[in-house]
Amino acid sequence: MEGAREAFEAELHLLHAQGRLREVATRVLGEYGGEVLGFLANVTGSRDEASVVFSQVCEDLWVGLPAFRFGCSLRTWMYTLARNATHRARLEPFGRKRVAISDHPELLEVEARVRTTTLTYLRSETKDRVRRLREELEPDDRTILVLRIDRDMSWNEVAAIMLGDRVEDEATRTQHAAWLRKRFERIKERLRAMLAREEAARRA
Amino acid sequence: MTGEARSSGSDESFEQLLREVARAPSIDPDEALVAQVDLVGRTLAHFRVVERIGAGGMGVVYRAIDEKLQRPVALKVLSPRAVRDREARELLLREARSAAAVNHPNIAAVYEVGEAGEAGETGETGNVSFIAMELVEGTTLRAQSKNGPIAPDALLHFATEIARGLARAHKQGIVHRDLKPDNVMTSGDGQVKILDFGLAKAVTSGETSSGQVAGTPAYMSPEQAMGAAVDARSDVFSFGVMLVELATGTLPEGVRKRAPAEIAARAPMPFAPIVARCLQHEPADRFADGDELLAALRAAMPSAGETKPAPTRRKGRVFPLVVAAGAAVVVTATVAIGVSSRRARDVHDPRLPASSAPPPVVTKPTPTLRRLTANIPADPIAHAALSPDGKSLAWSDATGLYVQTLGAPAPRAIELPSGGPSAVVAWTPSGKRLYASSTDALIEVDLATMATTEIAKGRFSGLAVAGDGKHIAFADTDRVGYLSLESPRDAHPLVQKKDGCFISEVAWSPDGGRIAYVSHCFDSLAATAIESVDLDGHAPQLALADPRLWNDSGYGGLVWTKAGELVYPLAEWLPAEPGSNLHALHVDPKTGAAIGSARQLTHLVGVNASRLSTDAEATRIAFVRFEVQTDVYLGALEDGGRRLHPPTRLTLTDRNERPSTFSRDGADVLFFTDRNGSFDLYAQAIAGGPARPLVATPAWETMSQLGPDGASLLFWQFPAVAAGEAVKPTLMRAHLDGTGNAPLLTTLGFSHPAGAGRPQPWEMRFRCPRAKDASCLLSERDGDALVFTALDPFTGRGKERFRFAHATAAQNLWDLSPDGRRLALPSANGPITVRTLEGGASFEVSLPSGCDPLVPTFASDGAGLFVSAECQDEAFRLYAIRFGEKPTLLWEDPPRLLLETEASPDGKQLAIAVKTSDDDVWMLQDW
Repeated sequence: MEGAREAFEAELHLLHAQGRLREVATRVLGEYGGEVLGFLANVTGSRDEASVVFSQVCEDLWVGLPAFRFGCSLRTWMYTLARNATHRARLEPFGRKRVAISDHPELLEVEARVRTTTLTYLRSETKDRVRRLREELEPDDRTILVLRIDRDMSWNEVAAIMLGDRVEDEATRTQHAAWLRKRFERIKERLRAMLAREEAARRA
Repeated sequence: MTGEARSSGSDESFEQLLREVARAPSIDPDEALVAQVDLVGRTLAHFRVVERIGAGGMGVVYRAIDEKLQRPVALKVLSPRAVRDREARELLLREARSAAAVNHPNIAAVYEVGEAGEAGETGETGNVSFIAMELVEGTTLRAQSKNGPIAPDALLHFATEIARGLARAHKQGIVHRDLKPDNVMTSGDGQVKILDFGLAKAVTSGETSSGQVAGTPAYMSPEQAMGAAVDARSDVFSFGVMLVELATGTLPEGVRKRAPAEIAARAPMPFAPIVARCLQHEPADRFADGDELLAALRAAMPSAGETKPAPTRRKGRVFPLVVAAGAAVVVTATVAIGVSSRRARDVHDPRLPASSAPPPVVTKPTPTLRRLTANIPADPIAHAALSPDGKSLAWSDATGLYVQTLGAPAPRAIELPSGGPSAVVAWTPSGKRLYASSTDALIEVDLATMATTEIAKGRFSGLAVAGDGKHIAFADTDRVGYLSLESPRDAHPLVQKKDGCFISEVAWSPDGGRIAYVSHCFDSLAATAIESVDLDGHAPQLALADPRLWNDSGYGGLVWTKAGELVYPLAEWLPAEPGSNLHALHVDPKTGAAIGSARQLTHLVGVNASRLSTDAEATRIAFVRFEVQTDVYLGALEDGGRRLHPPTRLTLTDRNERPSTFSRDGADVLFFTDRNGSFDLYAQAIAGGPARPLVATPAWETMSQLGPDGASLLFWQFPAVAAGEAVKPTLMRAHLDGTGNAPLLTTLGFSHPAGAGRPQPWEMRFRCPRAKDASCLLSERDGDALVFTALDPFTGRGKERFRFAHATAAQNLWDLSPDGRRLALPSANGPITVRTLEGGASFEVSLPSGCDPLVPTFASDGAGLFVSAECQDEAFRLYAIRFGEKPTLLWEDPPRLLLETEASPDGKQLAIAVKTSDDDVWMLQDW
């Protein structure tokens, strides 16, 4: 799996170097769109909101691709975009107009296909209790849980995503990764506390 | 599931809940389209679908029953990604049918291809394309390789079986196009089956409009990656990649860019030479097809007559520093049973299953490297020699001359009568005496008494004692010759060194009739050669001319073995990992002429070898392994540029980085680096923080300058080529942030790409002034002449300004003043000429006696120079020369080599390229 992903990333790096950006965007969306949308659905707690944010991610992908320097993998970058877009969506609740990729029907087609199939697949899979716990957590906490536990990313990858485009230097990332580990422990403590509360309420 | 999640608490239900909270399901949209239609229990054509057994890029695979023939099959239902339109679907089915024609036990049979609605109907599932294939029980090689490297004996079996399948398919004109461990199944009894033959082309050919090519990039041959036509040799390449991956447990990187030998070196014997040939970039240099590949693998397999009882099954090994000799190493032993069964399978009925597990193979001891000294970088090994019995080492470094029995706890120091460091050392054939050079004399050392005697005067750079023990060949500052130990003060010079060259190594022919030597020519790399001369002083005979005899240590290495072979190191040039490897060439001891072509003895990666010596039988080779690294340092200038605060390191990788210029605001140093494998342009803020890439492509970008307009970034770009190929660099222009690259001109001359730390073109240079109204200047070689033309960042090469008819190599490293009005032109052993471009007036400035300039750079006010220099005491120093004043020493930091400098626009900072080396003696055994 890792080998296949590395090979995929290497191929797209090559296409990127050749300036075949539309192809890169299409294939990145096809490959990672589903998992990023699944991630968004978890973090936003809403399929509709995830769908809107996903559009923003697609746009950001398209706009940012020419300047992307492969300082991280495209997959990590997609999650960075997704995390940033989620953040922006919270700050700008009325959203922004989508423009960039509408000129490229094949990109829109992939985006639509990802959205339709993934969201259909996601329907009715979340249990109420789990949803409640998720809603109690901060979006960033949810982000950390998904990336670390479900997506099995290294702490440095999680740090890269959480820091976004702000920091390129490895030392800062490593430092942030150490901080994230502590935060991860605190999230778990919070969840335990929530569960204890639930349990107490149920007994009462 | 991460370790932390598992270990964070004892409550398993909490862990489960945590996983659910973190769960963010995703699905491959293409797969979803197929997955949504659950085919289990339904029938496609005459195939009853029993269960889903996997999914991949092509679609979902089911176990099904062929109801006509009542046999199990693997039914591959193709995903929409694989067959996007009718044309693609038809092509896929056609290809699959053609692959179905290949009937071989090592290829999973394709039974049927077609399209069907459910149970012959259409509508409910729509038409689905499928391929019914032989159901192979077992695991893929991918799954097996997850446990680490596959043991060489098992791998040899797998490789042979795969090659057998390839041979059959290739014979029928079928190319796999996507050979990788995922597409090879193995069963518990050692049976090997290649899956999906020929399908890759069909699966992606429907998408050729988007330029996508069939196959998996990591395994693709260069021609396949480029989308060119492929044949059987492309499968051979993929086979090589797969073999390295399985042998080492990791997928090799850069297979289409790096030297095949370098990648092959990671694979253990007997695979390395086979892999090296498979991975050749030119298809014509590979095995022609599976048949040739199979023959090579069979040759690597032991023969039935060379058997040994009770073999031990060896575990797979990854050699961190693998040495794989070529023809010198042969596999000599194996197990009779294994060979018989394998041979039997060559002719067995293909319809019968394989009868036994892969047999183990025992190979000869692998060549090994042993480290013999452990000097610190500040005290590099100057020279070393292995004793004739291979049990002792003599070496010299800055602290003296030593001899040590290998394995003994401490060396014995040898006091030289005249003091000073020793340059070179040589043993007598008996091993009882040593000859060593001191600063200005040749010293004989009696190892029994440790007594030393000066026997001749001179500065020697090469010594070798003849087989008769009565003569010593030498190279000194001017010549090659020999002296008789009976009258050592009477030297017999044989060859005078050529201008622009020096001689550092000498070796006697086995019969003692000739002396071979390496002539390193810094004026013309191409003239660097191994020659030999007879004792009568006839004209030298060329044995080998190869610019790769140059390396970054400034030393070569030369041994003439009893078997008549000259052994010498050749540098590995970028884009291969910088280093060198040993080669051997038969040379006629009578005439000195080469016989046949050279063979490569080692496949070292990232190891530089120089200063060779062997034991008497040449079964062990000692060499000085050196590592070089160039970094950008930065120091604050004071007192108008006459003093420099001790510089500190600015760039912080372990790769090679060299400064090119400062940004206009002086906040960044622009430098080039091989941190990504090829040279790229980066900017480093002098305030610290991470370096920013400016131009980073697979080609090499080096030596940038800012255009006088302040808005252009100019730099050399070398195309990415195979190691050792001559290249024609292009001068590129980009925006300041590195975007918008465009070629400006291609240089007239050719340049050989050099090793790490020396990527600059030797035959052309350009420099740009800061003054807006001045123009950049470009110099190029035209034969012996150095031609200067104006250079415009937008129109390229302008009018010729002037030329030097007979320019030396030293003159290539000129500089242009910030106002664009003056040129500083160094000379090899003399002053630096500062020439006013308009009017031609000039004056000279000189360094202190005994120091020769390397690279001059104008101070930012144009009123002085910073000059790196190499001095006769072998120190490298940095001087400031204010015009009209005496030079002042800015910095020396022995033994580090100081190269080019760049002054910041405000004159407050100086960036310096600093090269460090670390030399130690290593020994190669059983090569």
